[in-house]
Amino acid sequence: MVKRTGGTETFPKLLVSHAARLADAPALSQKRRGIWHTMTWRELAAEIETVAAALEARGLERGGTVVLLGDNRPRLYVTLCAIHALGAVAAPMFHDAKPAEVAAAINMTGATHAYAQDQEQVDKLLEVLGAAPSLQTVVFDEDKGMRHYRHAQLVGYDMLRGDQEPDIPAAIASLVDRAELGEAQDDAFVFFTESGGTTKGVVHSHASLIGRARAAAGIEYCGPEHVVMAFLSPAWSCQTLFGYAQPMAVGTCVCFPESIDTLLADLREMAPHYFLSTPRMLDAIASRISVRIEESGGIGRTIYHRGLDIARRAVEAEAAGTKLSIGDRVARAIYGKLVSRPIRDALGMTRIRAAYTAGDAIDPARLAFFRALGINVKQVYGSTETGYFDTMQRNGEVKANSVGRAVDGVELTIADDGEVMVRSPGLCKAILAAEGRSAPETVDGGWLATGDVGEIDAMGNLSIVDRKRDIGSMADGTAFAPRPVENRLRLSPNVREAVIVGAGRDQVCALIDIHASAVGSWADTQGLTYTGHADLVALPAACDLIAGEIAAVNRALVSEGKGHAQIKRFVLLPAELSVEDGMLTRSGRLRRDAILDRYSGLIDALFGGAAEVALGGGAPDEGEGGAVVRIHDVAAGGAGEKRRAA
Amino acid sequence: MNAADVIVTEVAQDAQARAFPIGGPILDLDGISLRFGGVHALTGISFDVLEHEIRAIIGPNGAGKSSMLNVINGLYTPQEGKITFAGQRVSRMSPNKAAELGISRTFQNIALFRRMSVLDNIMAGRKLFSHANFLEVALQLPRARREESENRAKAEEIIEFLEIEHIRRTPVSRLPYGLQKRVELGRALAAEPKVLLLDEPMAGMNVEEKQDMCRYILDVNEHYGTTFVLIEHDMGVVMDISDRVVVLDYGKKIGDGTPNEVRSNQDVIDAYLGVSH
Amino acid sequence: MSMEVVFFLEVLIGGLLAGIMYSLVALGFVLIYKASSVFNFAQGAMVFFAVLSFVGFMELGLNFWVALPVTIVLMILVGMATERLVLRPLVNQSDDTLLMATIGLAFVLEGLAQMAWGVEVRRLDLGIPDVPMMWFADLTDIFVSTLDVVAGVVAGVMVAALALLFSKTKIGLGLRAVADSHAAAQSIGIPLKHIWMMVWATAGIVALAAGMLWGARSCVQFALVFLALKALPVLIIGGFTSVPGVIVAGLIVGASEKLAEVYIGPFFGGGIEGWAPYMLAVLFLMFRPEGLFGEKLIRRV
Repeated sequence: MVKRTGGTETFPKLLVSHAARLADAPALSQKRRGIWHTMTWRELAAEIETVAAALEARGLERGGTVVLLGDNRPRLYVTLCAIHALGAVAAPMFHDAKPAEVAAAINMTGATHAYAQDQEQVDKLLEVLGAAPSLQTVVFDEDKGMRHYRHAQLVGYDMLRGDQEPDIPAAIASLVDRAELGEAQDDAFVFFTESGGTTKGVVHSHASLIGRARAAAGIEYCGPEHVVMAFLSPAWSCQTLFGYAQPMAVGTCVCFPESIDTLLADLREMAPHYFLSTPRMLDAIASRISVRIEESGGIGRTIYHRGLDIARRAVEAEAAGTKLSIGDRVARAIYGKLVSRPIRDALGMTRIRAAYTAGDAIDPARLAFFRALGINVKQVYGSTETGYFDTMQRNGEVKANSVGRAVDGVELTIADDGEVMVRSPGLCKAILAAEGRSAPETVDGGWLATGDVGEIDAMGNLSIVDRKRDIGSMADGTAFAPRPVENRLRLSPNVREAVIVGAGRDQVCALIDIHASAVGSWADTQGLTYTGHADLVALPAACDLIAGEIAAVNRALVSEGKGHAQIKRFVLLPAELSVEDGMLTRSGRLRRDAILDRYSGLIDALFGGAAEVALGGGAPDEGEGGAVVRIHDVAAGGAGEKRRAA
Repeated sequence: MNAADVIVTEVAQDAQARAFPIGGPILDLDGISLRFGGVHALTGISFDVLEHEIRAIIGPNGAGKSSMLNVINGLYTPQEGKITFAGQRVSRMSPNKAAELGISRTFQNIALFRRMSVLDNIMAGRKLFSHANFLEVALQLPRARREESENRAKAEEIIEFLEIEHIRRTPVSRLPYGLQKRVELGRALAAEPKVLLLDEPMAGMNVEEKQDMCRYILDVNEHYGTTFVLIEHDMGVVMDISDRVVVLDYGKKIGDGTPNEVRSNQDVIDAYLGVSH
Repeated sequence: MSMEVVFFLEVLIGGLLAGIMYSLVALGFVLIYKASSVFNFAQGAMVFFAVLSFVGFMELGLNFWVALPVTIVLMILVGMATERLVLRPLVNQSDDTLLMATIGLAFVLEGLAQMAWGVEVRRLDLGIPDVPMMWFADLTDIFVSTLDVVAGVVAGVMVAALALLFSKTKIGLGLRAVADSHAAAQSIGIPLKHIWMMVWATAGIVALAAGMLWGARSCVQFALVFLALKALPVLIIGGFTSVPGVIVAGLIVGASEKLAEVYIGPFFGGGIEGWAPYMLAVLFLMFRPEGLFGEKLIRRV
């Protein structure tokens, strides 16, 4: 069989092409033990070939599947590339996947091999060996704690790879041959998504992902001279598009922080051009900035607030298409030097061309905050089924409440019930379920229902209101979307997460999950003592603090004519909402059903008018057993009185 | 019941397959008696510590555990008794001598260099591996440079092992208690000790921090083969991770053996458990 | 330049040069405070002891270049003896005990010095004239004493050398380690006694330098022990543990006391040079108790 040589329609072919064309340009940077190490495209290609050959020797076949468990680390990245070089399929999973999910994923894909970052992941795989008979080999990276493991299926990455430095030209030649065997429509990735308790696998081909990555890269030039920071899990399709497909498509250098805890320091050192974050991360960064500023106090704080005010006005003016007064422009230049520059420096955003945020809605004010600091934060919207890059905000036309216009090739429309429908060339190849493989579910020739309700303006900008199933109406029939209000509350550095309850009720109440470090440091400055999270939320002063912030949100809601969504009562949750206890999805969205279920007693009390409620045996977490949670009333923002009178 | 239990079962099952199998005695204490004026802190204590094992010394408050550790470490000189380390009789132990022999330690009330960063603290633990003199350092001569980079590499290895990369540059005084304990362990490890003495490594920690600390102790033992002698007054977790346990009460040894043997020893139950519960 | 400006600069330069000498005295305190967290009451006595011995050796007929190393060796011996006889028996004792011990040491040193060399006031001639540098005066109209300039340079060099010693060397690391925790330093094999010996010997040499420079200006006499009192505001302003802090604070104290004396003094009938620095120190205690460069104590629960 004769094949066209030198194509760029699969990931291995792209790699081969970069090794030839970009050769000694940096391909991968990683910080390890305090030092940055950089690999060129040629070195990376040779390394990948070495690992691919070793995996082949361990029985990985073309078309086979490898489950990857772990964080986004360089070795996982190289392994992923090697899997593609072999024509096999990568199925990345979140590091906190439960054993049952891992077993289901292996059985769904028929995976023969697995990659595990450390003992924790290895233990999970060993646990499911019996339930997942197709699994033959587990490659693990870190051997800490596993020196006494004696399972035949286990092989350490170091042992697998060997300690020989590859002969680069020979390895690349071998990789070229290997790459020739692959085709654009071959399966490349399986991403796992969960809805309503069932997990399905979304299969993407090389072609669909490379196509989307190129379309996105075309919107804003991104090339070999740029550096992207990769740290979110590759199990999230958006991260893989951004941190694997796009760098491979255009030859960008990918850099990895030393660990997720050192991210901010490493960002500062590497100063990447692009990075992908989530609204939750941006919240955390913003909270950190404001806590630091408040702690520093004095003149620095005053300058910061002044500077931010002016920068915000500038952002608003830009969005509205008006010009700033001369005085403001001068002040902006001065404060830019005094405030924005140092903060960008501290965050490692000096070279940033765009910081994308995806995965959830970001509040307009949060977006404005970062843009005011001169950080080009832009929203990306999409779904795993359509190769994620559906819409993207464009430079110069970032509208705070919109997720941007459709990416090239993508069509958008709004269904009669308000649901956003997408037709994209990046539509996945197939859907895997326990029952088997099927084509993706679309209507009218390729339109995919996203499950989100939204609007499209005259310019083609899409804005998302909320998840379709989260939108409800209050007892009096007023439509009510919780997420925008929650996002508004999360603007406070003290609020980590908020859950608004109001559907089918006659008023709106909130469960507030505080930012323990921010509220904690505030409590320190107030000279208040506390011993833990539960103790902190029980401080009356902390409750007053949050009550004040909710009252401000209420006032804003009233002034926007959304007085019906005002929050009347709230509680501070005694424990963090976390992914581990099933309250949040892995991308950080609320699992609304689970939360409503777990805190049903609390919610009943909120609406029932009680002043406090004991979290009894209903709570699965022993730590909360018997805790008494106090319920607080909030001052309404004006129009509330009218409702009360009515 | 808790994570530590899980760890133990794991270790117990694989006892044969330990990366560093337990060897012969590395430290032998024979008839140690220590008096402060008229107070008998330790009376005729004898026990040994085998290479690569985790040896716990437990006992109620005031049983003489800390005194015992301070004798091993050379802070106190016992009036009677012999200390043998790696087959060599040590006539007069001193903290410096202990450090040179390869005995590191941590302290109950964390003793860190508070004003220094985590990295500097761990680098300080490499003190015995620096031989370059002032001039060599000042002029950055080859030996000084090589030592510096070797020491840094070792320090970084430990930082990675203990997962404290994110606080590498933080002054230790700003760290929470649990992390300070971990840094102190790191500094002790930096000396590449043969025997590591831990003085109540889990005092004042919450359950989660205790489990973390257990995990690190077991990991260090498995990865580097370090022999541990640790003291605790709380029997819980320490019993679970120890190979053998010595029980002291009022300066006398009242039990010695595997955790199970000690648990079923009537003297121990009377003197220790009776007090504690 | 107008007369007022020239006069102001003259006062300022004179103040700064005196200030660097305050820094030198204060540095002796910082050295010991860093290594053993104790305020060394004997520092003034060491200054007196050192320079009196130096003058004594010269009176015995040794020339300057012999007397100097002999005195340095003597100060090293004093440092070693202090470690052996005072500090080592008090290892792991409270800081208060150590403080009392240094008070005792002060009396011993003062007594020994006077026993050995007598109590009369002596002149110390370093061969540097305490007269204005004429070439500089011709150039700028500003009168600055040669002795002041030499003293300033010597003090500056010593301060810089010690700052380097602290920050860049193994000894410096050991010293900082000992300062933070005796137990921890011992456990990693830092020999406490060597560090202490070193520190006390160095403090002795610093005391000698300070004594010689002050002695040359204002005679070698018992009053030199009160130099320690001059160092106190410098320490408070600079922070007890900071080498750069005491340098800057010394300059501030020197300059401000001279300027205050000249410009504010007349309103109080003069003589405020003596207490102006203390006022400044009190202000610091009220508003910035950790000093300019001292570390802020942050306590977290």
